[in-house]
Amino acid sequence: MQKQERTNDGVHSGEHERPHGRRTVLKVGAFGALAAYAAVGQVSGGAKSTNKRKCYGMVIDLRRCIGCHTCTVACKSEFNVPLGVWRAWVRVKENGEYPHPRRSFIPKLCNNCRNSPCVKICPTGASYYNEDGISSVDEEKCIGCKLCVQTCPYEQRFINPDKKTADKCTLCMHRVRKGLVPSCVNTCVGRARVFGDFSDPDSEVSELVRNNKVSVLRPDLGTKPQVYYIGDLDEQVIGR
Amino acid sequence: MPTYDIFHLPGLDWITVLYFFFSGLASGSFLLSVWAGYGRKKLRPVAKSAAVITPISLGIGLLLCILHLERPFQFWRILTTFQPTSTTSWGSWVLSIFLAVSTLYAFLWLINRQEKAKTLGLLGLPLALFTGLYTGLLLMQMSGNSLWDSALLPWIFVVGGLLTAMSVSVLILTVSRQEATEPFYGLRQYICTLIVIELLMIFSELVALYTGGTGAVEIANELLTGNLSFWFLNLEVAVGLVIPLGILVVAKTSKKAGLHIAVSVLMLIGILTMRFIVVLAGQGQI
Repeated sequence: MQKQERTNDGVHSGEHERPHGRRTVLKVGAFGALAAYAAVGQVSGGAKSTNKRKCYGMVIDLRRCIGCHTCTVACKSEFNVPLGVWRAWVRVKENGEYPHPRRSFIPKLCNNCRNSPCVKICPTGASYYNEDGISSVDEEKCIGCKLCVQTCPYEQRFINPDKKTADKCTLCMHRVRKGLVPSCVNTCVGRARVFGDFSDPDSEVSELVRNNKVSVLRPDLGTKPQVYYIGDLDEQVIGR
Repeated sequence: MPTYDIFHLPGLDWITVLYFFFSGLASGSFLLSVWAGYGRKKLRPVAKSAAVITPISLGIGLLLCILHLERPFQFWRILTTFQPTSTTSWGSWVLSIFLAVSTLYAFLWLINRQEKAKTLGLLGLPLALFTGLYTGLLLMQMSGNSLWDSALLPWIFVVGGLLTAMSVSVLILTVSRQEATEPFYGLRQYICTLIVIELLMIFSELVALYTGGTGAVEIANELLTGNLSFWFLNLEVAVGLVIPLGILVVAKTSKKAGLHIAVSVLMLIGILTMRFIVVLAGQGQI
């Protein structure tokens, strides 16, 4: 029951609401001993259940990013991403004035929104949520109308110059299905990028979101992004 | 402070602008033609020319739309499915049906079956209105852009489409040396009214932007004092709307061909600039 209480109290440490209603499950559990038992079972083993929808995402600790761009390169080589387009990269911002100039870094990738504008706007149904809940592109159906490219507020979609279809970060699902982490996470030297399943309350990402003040990009648009940042997105300072 | 970030090529470009312009012209022409068909007898030439303009401009618009695709030969896929959350899916179906209806409508006018044409016109009105609204609705669905996130935008486009249609009709009738029994073939006061409505809507839009959030205020400043002020104030507002309105008010009775052509061309420049500003400036492209 300790787990139950902790989950109930401490989920919302960030400014963005989490999508999976664990509370609902817990409320039901409170009505009887049997139901409560079932609820505890859900909490501890929820992510392992095959029927449960996964909610993959990332927690990025901006304090740990040193701007080495290894993730950018790893992503490029993992997917052989053509020149001129990127699936993941690091935004660099210069702050401060001489003699105290400094740089801050924001690693970027698909925010795996739960309410994706890119999926909604697709006129052919080529953009869809795949079985892992990731917004994906069916290359057969995509006609290259570029509306998803235009509507993504995170600049995450682009037209692949080789395939002439929309393309994007897939959170390396081909690796994750084999039990590996995404390529950008694998190579991150500072362990700034942490990957996991938010539907599992025991996962590292869930712990990080519970125990830190986190924020997301453009929360005002209601896209429910699943990439959380620890640290100040505007003024994060490294290597002062 | 400099920021180094990745920006992929935007989804909407100048082909989209022209597509918006032509689909606006098609929508406006159909509305104008139906209205003129039921109106005074003197408006019949307008009704006929506008009826013919509709399928031609819609055809050009749809062709541009297909050319804008990265895989143009796959365009048929859009008509094998219906995605209710996508404005473009709605638009593709409605515009396709509208193309068929407006072609039949133009044909009926050309063979002088006016009564049948007028009945078909009434049935086609909702299709024409949606076609006019659609480009604005599409922009509204794009997330995170203050200029596009406006309930007035589709209606600014509809009135813009009507003004385009009136300009093109007057131009065609003048160039084909059709004799004008009234100034602007009886359209003078209606053009004036629509220009005033358009100006009022643009004014409301500016107030909404200026009193909005950070992004909205930035766009308002761009339009009024920034890089876009030349395009917006001089071309869209002055050349496209205010000067034509002034000429129409001052030269009340003139039926000169030169005047018809001048006012029409000025309005067309203004409306085209308006579409450019909304589409490209909305993404910070100009």
